[in-house]
Amino acid sequence: MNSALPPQTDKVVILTGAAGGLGQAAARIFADAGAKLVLTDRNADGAAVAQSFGAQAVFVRHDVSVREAWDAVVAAACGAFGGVDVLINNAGIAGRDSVESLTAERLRGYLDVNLIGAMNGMQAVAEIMRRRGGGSIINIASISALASTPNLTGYGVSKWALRGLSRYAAAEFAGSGIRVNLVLPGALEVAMIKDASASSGKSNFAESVPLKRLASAEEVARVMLFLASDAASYVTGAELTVDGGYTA
Amino acid sequence: MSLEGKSVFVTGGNSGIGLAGALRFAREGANITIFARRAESNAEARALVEAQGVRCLTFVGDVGDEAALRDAVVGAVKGFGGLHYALNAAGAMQSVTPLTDLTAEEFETIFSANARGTFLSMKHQIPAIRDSGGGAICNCASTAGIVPSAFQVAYAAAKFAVVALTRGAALEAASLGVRVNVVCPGATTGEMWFKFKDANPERAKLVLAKHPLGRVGDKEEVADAVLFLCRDATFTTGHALTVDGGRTAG
Repeated sequence: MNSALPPQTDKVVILTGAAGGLGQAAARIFADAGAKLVLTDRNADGAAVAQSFGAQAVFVRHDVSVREAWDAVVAAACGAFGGVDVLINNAGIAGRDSVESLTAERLRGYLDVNLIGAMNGMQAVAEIMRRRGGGSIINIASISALASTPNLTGYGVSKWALRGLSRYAAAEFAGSGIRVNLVLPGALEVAMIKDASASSGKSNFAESVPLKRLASAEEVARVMLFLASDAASYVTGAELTVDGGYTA
Repeated sequence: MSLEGKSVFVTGGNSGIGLAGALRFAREGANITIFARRAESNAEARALVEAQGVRCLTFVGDVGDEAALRDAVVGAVKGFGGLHYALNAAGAMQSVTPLTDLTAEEFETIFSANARGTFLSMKHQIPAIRDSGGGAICNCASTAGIVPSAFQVAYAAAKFAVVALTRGAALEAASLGVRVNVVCPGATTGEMWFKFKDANPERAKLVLAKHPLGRVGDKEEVADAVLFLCRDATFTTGHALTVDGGRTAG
């Protein structure tokens, strides 16, 4: 494991979706870098993830799409670690829909978590970060926010919307020293789609990636670590693809 | 010292972002080859690199000179037993001139120094990196490679070309074990910005006002991004990473 990125020993990180594969990998990488972690998920399994890091992490079970539910998350960060420096909006849901099969109800479902969840998180931490002189917000989208992916309409549209929100937030928060960046993983989402729909095709997808493989969760997590760190102190409004060259 | 024993080739490595990048890699223990135009600046840069406790080779040359570039890459491979990373920071800034007054000669000079130079650098670096077991290249464009500025269209065209060269090269080099990315800095504390600012103080104020973080970036911040792309971003290739204080987000 390459641990050469700057240490995060003085940083308090809120990470949503911490019970999922990417969330767990990110929690591990940030914990190894010395960060203090507030891990959240609507799945109670996140508690065990937090426990594995001892006093370095706490878990809050919550639904990112419910604005009031963020109060407990921020309170936990302030109570346990004295504030918030980094917010990673990693929680997300995926599913398959064509333009014709997508319903308003299903689209609202994607938007509630993937877009409004991130909006809620940013609103919950902005003032605290501003008072601390700045912070770093990292939103996790997908290469589905760079192009259209067949039959991922609802999910993809919600990620395009998250991409837009990130750019607005980057411009608006810059004056407060709060950096906002977007990570666009490629092949990892395929695993997520695969879980959601039990469809196959993972190896076929890898063939279409110039690097001829899928990303490991750690590779995506390492990008989050960079964006959270002081090494990225002039990086804001960036949209960082982690896709093995798929969208190059 | 995460890059001990690695070999890094830096064009334009004796000043600005190139030198900052060379020093950043050197701090991680890598040996550095500098390819740049001014012999005396090369000597100064070499002393700074060697002060980090690593070895440094310098070659005096212009990225327009293919033979000189080729020989320098061969020299880096021979000197350090291979080549693992390259930072192509050599480039040239255009004068502030309306398109309708711009001479064909200046257009060609600017386009060549930035785009043709990046092409020739990669042409010789990619095989050397492949033969050394794989690695990564980071080119240097600009926010002007994403959003053009008025009165510097040759520079914008050249930096758009650098981004296109990067993306195309990434597709070709992926199967060779070579990732290719590009940084797009905004206004940065390098020689180019200081010259631009001295020559165009009013315009520099306007440019700075377009950077939401409200300050010029440090060349060391760009160097951090270069190191990240080369060493840590192992699944990112063909990517243009903005290091611009939000310049292109608005």
